Amino acid sequence: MRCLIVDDSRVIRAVARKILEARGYEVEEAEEAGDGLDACRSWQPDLVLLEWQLPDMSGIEFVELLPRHCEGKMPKVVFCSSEGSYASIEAAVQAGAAEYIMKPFDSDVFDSKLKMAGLQ
Amino acid sequence: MKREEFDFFSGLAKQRAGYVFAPDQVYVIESRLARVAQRNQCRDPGQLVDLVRRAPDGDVARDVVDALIAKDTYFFRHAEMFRRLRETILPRIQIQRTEQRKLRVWSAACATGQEAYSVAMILDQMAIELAGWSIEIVATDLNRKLVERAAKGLYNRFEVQRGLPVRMLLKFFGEAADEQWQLAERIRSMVTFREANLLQPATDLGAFDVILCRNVLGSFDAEGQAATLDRLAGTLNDGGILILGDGENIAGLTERFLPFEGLDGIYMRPAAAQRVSTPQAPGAAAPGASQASA
Repeated sequence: MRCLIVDDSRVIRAVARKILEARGYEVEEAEEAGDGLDACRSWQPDLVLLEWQLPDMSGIEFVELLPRHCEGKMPKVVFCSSEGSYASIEAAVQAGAAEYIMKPFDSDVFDSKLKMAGLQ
Repeated sequence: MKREEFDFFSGLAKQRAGYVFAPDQVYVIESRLARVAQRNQCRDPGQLVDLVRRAPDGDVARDVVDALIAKDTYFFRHAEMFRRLRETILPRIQIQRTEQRKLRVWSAACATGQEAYSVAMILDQMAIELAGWSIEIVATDLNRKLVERAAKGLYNRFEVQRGLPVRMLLKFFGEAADEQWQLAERIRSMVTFREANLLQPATDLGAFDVILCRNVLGSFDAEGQAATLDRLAGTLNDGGILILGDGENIAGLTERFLPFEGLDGIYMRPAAAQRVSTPQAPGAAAPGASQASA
């Protein structure tokens, strides 16, 4: 399984990478949405772990642009953000997110969310 | 921790809650009591022993027992069991109780209530099928503080993210203060929380169609397990279903239940006419080693 982490926080990328690699995922990282969308086209991940607000666009915009960058194989999107309002989570789900992780999280939460998204 | 201190605390857990600690679980008791000791300014376990001895029925003794009993639980723990509950068990009970149109569920050793509320959410999703039915979920725990907390239906970010799909969070919860989430009133009102000890008869709770007693029997010795199963059988209606934790079984402990459709850890109390002595398969009586509540 391949996971692309799209998050402008180096710390979060490092923590998520550690958890995902321990579960057998191949991991790539992108700091900005544009790079993330390019990686979706070239690397074709199974999962995109996505921050709510990125430097160049919002996570919702990223999800909306995703079909244009994926030929046939759409990755599942799991938001992972400190933005944890009802409205934000609802917007993410309506945009097509499979799951939503509110920061801070621990490995139990991470495992649970990946399982519920059908990724474990 | 000295051996006599371990003996004191493990004896207290056994006497008050039926919990049994193995001799090599000194570290478990030490870690579970660390915060209680700190709160009561005890510099060593011996001072905590003295406080409990001075007031065996006091708040400190209660805090010690509460701390000794693990409380780990989460929504839809062992999701496969909840799928069976929804697809197999509840439809069967629905047929059995179609005349009475009454369904009662008991979540025993409910801790912070996630199991009881998981059942409530499933029943809410069956609202059309169960229109006109009287539905009651009773959830009990020995720990009064947990019962009071559970009744509020308030959970933090970590708790609402373990086992609970995001769509169910949106459907059944609303935001509350301090980054907490609260279950909708219609779900909370389906569950009645009560303080109760599994070591004591549960006759005042009434009769149930489904009992969930998961991940608690493994903390009892064989005698405690058998006695508890006997009490649970006494509160189940004919044809009622007992659900134990993943890996738990009743082999060698009681003959008051029959296996239910070959599902692991799920048993049925037979109707009076079916109650015959059924030989149990020999095997390990002790359920799983977990001491966590469901």
